[in-house]
Amino acid sequence: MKISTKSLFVLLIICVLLLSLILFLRLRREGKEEAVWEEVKLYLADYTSAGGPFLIPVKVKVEKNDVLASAMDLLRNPPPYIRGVSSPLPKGANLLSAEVKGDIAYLNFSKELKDNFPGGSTNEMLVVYGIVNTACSLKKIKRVQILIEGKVIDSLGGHLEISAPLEPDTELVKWKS
Amino acid sequence: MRNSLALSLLFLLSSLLYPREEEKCRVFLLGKSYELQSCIVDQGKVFVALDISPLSSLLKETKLTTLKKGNETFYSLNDLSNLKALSCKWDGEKKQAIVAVRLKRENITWERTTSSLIFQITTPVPLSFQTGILSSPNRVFLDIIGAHLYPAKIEENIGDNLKMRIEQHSVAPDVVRFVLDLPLYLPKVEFSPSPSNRITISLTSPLKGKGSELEAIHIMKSDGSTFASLRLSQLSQYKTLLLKNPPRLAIDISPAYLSPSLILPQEFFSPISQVRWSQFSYDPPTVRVVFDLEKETRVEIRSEPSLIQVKFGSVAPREFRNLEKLKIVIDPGHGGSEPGAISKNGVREKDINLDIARRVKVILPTVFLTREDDIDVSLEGRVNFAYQVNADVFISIHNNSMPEGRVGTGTETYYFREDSLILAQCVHEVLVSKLGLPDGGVKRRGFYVIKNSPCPSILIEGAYLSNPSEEKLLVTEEFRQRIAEAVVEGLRKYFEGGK
Repeated sequence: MKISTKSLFVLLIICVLLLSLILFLRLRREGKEEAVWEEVKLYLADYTSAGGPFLIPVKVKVEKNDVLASAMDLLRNPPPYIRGVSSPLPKGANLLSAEVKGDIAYLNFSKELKDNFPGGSTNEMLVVYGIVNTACSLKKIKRVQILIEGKVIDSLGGHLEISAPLEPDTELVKWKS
Repeated sequence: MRNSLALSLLFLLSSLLYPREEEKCRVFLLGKSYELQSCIVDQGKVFVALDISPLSSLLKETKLTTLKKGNETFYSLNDLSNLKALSCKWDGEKKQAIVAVRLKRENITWERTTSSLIFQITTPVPLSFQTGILSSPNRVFLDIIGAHLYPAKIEENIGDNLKMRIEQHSVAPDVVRFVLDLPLYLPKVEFSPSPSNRITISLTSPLKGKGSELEAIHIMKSDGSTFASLRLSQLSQYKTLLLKNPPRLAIDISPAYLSPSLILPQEFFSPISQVRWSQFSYDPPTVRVVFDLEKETRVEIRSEPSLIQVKFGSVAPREFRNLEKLKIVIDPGHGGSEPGAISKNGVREKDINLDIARRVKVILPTVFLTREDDIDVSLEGRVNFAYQVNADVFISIHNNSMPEGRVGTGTETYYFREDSLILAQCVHEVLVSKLGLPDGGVKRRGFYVIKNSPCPSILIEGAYLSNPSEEKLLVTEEFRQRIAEAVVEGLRKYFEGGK
């Protein structure tokens, strides 16, 4: 009788310890999950609404380590569940590399960003500020320098100068209600 | 008074003579249910034994017909239903009486104060209510218990982003549901304590301190012109949009929020027919002010750190200047290795732009072209050219395009700085009337050449190369000539006050 009470007590202690270990691990994982994701606003093109075209910000969560690359990838291939908007980027425009120095993001795109740009002044704003506004929605990034194959260029389509880092611009931005 | 006294006496008498059957019924008084109340139904008249003290404030002036039986007092439901403030119903089959407060649109008011929107629902007697705040979609609701809505459903938009819906949620008990749909944002919400005869809901802007506060909108008339001014607590960026159908001027200020004590114009002067304002967005905080105009009007805008001033109508005559004596720079967009837009049939924007610019030079030989041939000129080079010739005015000639799968249509004119808005309007008016394409409007856009030129400068987009029918026009000499003529005529309008 005496032994069994003792073993019961030990068992109870083991149970409590196990339970607290599970809880501890779970809490830690939750904390980690928080830290792994960062929210980014994708500025996607709405070509069809009256008075447009517009840039529509859409909030998504991307993985924190490689946040710029993931954000640009989503800007090029928006998640299919987002309706009524499409990527403002020209066909085949890929991000080759991304670097952050201070508060400036240097986004290096493949040559298709310029070569496949179809023209149009408003359209140029959609492309340039689609990229700049999206990158600047991330913490720490205030300006964006767009590069083509590693080089600074004057302009994508001859309306906007991109030879220096650009700040975000809200002229074409529309908030969907 | 005397009549009802006589009547009650009569009833007392008659009840003594012909004692009526007493029944049990259910009464909903201001939403509260009372089971097994005694009632008497007699020749379409209904009397209920009920404590009517919740209604006492309504009954001060009114004497109700009563019946006394034993130690119970019966009140006439018919008399209650004669009160305008009440809605009374008797369901003979269910033996059920409902006494509720009549709620009408005029009992519900709302007003804007400093960064708050306050709704007030006034009822003749205190009512209890339940509240809730829900998200996705964002909404606030308030269930007013013991009220009956006339008409049964009310829907109103308040500003651009708030909808008020009121409807009869249930009968027996009578509950009116008041809902505010807040699609953009869930503000701070406060309700007055229940019960109350003055229910208030206040929605507070969480934006205080996040930008400039729009403190006042003034409209005044001076020297034959109408002025509107927007007073701000500090400098903020703004953009303007002149729109047609109906004609209006929209000004977006960001970051900015509406002052809780926003001062509004007392009087409108022509051409302003109405002013609307809203917290257009919350992230970033943007205020939109819209001036509805009686007719299309030219506007001139000037801004100071804490003031945006708009002048409507007859714009002060510019000092008359002969076009031939001015230094006018015409900038054919793109060129050389940079073709601009290319249509499906291979028509290149750079060629069209250059041809139009050459035609301008034929009509007005004194103009300077930033490029005479199909060569590369950087954006900076174009602006430097305007500096070198000490230009009085700069016009960049472009034609538009949309990405694959979209066509686009119409004529647009862009300006960036305030000193260029009148020029943009003068040229745009002529372009639209001469080309006959859809009016894409005068818009403010930060394109490099119009942002950085040393003089009033605009960028025109004649037509869309991505639109097959507009492309067909652009390849004709006649159409390009019309664009060139419109540019010169617009310049004359601007400098010489011509036609």
